[in-house]
Amino acid sequence: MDWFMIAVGGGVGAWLRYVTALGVNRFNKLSFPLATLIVNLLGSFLMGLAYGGGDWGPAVSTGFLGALTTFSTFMYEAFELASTKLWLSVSYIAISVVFGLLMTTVGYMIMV
Amino acid sequence: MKNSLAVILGGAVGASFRGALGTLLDGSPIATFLVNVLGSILLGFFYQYVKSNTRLSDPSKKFIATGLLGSFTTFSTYSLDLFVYLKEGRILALGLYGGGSILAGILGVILGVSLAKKVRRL
Repeated sequence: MDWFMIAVGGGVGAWLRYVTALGVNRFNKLSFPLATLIVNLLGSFLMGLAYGGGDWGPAVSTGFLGALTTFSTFMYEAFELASTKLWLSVSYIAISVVFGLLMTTVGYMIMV
Repeated sequence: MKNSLAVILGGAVGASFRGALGTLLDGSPIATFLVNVLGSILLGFFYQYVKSNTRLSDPSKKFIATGLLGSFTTFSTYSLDLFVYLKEGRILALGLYGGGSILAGILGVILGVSLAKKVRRL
């Protein structure tokens, strides 16, 4: 049954990531990939909450939060940015990783 | 509507594949590393491929890129893995895993893009 719950959570997470991108990209005219950063930081925060709050189950952690966030799009965007604005690409990576870790830490500390 | 459905279906399949690989490797950060790098290679390949092949419908593109490959890879688990290393004071592992994932991910995208360019020439 776990795989089915992971699939359901994954579908919901991916959809939320998609509609966030649609909404954010309507007003985001910067070349900075804000939508991916938002879902990745939000997902990292919620993952900290889930980890600190005991077991939220595979549907939420592996399915929903796993799919809400993305690494492949993050890497592709960094790659694309690097060809035109190298410093912005490096900042995008640094902000994502450092604040991702920070968000998970904050989420964990709220629950523990 | 079609795009949303495509993203949901792709997300369900992508997350399931990631879950299956995670189970095989017992939830180790190595599993996260592998899906993230493999997903980056495939996304680089796919985006480069569709640049020269516009016959693919929009929902098909969304199914593969946003749904399947977006959900096959994960950032939240990556952040959690980093946090666990930090909490355990394993700073070397934190640096190697943190930096290694990024380096391999970027190189993966580059590999995927160049493979797609080669395929197009065939």
